[in-house]
Amino acid sequence: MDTFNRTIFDSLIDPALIMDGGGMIKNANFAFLQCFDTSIDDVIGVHCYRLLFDRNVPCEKDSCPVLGAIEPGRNEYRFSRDGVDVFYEVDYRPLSGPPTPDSDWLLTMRDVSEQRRLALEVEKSEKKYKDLFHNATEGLALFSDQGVIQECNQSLARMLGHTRKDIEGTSMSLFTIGYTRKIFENPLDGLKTLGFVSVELEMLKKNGEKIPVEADINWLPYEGVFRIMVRDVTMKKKIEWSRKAYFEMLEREVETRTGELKESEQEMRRQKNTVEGILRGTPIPMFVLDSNHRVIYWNRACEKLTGFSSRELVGTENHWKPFYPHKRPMLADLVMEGDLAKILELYKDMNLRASTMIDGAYEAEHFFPSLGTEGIHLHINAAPIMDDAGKIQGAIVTYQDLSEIHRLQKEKEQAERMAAVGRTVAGLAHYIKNVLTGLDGGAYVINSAISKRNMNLIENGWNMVERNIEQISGIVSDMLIYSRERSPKYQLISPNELVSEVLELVYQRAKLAGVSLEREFDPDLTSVPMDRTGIYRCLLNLISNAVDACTLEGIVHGKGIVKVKTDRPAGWGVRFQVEDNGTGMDDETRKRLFTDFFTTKGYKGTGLGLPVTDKIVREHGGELSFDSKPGFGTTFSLLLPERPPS
Amino acid sequence: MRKSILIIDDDPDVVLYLSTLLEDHGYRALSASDGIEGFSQAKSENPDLILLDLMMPAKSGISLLADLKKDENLRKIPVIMVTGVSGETGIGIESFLQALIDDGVCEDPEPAGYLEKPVRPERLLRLIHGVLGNR
Repeated sequence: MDTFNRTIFDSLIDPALIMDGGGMIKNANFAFLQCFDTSIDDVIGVHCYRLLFDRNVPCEKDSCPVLGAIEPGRNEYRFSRDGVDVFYEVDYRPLSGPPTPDSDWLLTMRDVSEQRRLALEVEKSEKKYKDLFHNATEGLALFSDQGVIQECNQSLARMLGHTRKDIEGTSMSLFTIGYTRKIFENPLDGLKTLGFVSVELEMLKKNGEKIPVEADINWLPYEGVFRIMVRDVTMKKKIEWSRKAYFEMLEREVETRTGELKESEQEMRRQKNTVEGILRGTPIPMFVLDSNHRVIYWNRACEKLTGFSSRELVGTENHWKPFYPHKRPMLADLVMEGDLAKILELYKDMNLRASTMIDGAYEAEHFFPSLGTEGIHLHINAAPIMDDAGKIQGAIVTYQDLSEIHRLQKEKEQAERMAAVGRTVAGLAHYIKNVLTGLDGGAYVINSAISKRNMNLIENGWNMVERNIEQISGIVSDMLIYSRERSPKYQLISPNELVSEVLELVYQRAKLAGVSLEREFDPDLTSVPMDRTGIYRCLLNLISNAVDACTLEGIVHGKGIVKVKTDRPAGWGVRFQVEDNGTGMDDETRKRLFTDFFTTKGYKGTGLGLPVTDKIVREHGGELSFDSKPGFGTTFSLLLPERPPS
Repeated sequence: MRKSILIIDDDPDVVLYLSTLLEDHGYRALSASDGIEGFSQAKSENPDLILLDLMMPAKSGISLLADLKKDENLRKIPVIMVTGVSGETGIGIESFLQALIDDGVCEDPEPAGYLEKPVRPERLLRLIHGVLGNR
């Protein structure tokens, strides 16, 4: 080589070689010698494969195309230097003219290690990127600024129900609907400028279904593409929607419930008002206690009855005040406690009885002197209030003013008696007729006797008159007793003495009739308060009846016997029993026994006897009863109490 | 000969009164205080007239009347019924007497007359006279 060429050759930065077609190195430049750390003498005449690769034979054709090349080219070679790989790009060309088998070749080498390394890096990161791209769960696609999809990942394909092949190469607008489609149809300059946008849109699946997605769109200026990341938000939307729906439903429920609550509150208030209205307006005096024995309600009628206002008493335990002079448990308090013993003790004189209608309720009657102007007779009804579980919550008490009833009752009795008297007059007609006949007869006989101067006859006639006068007296007396309200005049009378008197009076008559009188007196009988005349009359009536029973219809079993007994059963002052063995009474007779003016005694009976007796006995607070067996006899019992009724 | 009249009544006052009255007016008075005694008296004395009280306890007047009418001999004797309350007896007697006719006991069981208590002397005498006067 001449000097000029040498200079140029050596000035090359890149290592260079000249060799023949067989690879024998003819020359090397400075850079080469530097690079391979060798001298010119070591290089010239050595084959390239020897020098570079320490080979005795040429390299394979596919690893080095230089030897035997028929045209210029380039090839890459790897060298190992100090354990590090170095890559050269070798450019080979004929030194001059077109390539011939005799040509010398010029090889220039460029160290492309760095480049190669970088390329590898790039390749690696590209691969990584590709991996990420394709394996992402979100749908990813790259599309051009014309909207053409260049690449998409499997996720997106799956999302849209297409294959990747279907999608890649088509326009984004095919998979979008509505106004968003327009975005992808036009050149997306706006997006480009924006650089990044995140939108919610709907995409079209292969089967025509719409799928709501969230899309992040990036403009990648370096790559010159848009990258779109798509998230299927169907689930999210569903959840959102159902949550919305759920909340709406909750709201509606709350509204409905609130409405219902308001309504039931109103209803309760209405009911309370109705109940209060009823309680307030009822003419029955009543009050209500709570479980602590405090008055919670005291109605208007009760205010009127007692003179105590509800304001004074509600909330207090002073319900006793209008009724008693001192604080004491009232029936209302006691029914709440269910203390039967105490109830009996405090109310035994007040005609106490358990209510037949309400469990645990009691009734009583009492005269309250502190009420009204002269005191009032009241019927009391106290009942416990129980909740559904049966637990006692309080008590309710109602009163009934008996004064009116008593008065009416007395009036009724009086009216009945008056009516009875009226009936009496009619009923006694025939009896009185008999008596009148007797009087007339007596008068006639006397007159006749006087004119005949027959003393005996005069006596007979007079006796007749006397007897009839006595009969009339008896009738009048009975009628008076029966029709008038009499209070007995009480005296302490010995029962045995009184009965003895009556028996004496009846003795003659009984003897005449063939009836024997027997007595069985309790010798220890003490005196009992009674109206002497009244009870005398009763005993006379009963004993006369007994005697008559033995005579009127004839004796069934032997001679007539009337037995009079006295004794003292528990709880009474005395019992008189009048027993006969007469005909007894059949049902018909029994039924009519105490009705006005029924008599089986023909001319002798007024029918007044038993009703009068009954009345007198009742006035004493006693009891009159009988037992009768047709054909065997009758027993009448007259009971008088130890003490006259108060 | 005096006509005899049998008074059957359980009230001795009535018997005394009527017998005095009848004796005063020339009749012979007989008496019985109940139906049984009355029947036996009627049989033994065969009175010209019987005054019969209806309301008698043991044997009622009506039943005695029936017995009298059933008896061959006694049915001929005229009977005057004496009663305390007219209304009460009316109905009973009617059907009773009808039964007697129906049973063939007697063709004409009717009593000769009725008298109400209290007995008016003139009325009684007039009635008796009327009944006995026809014989």
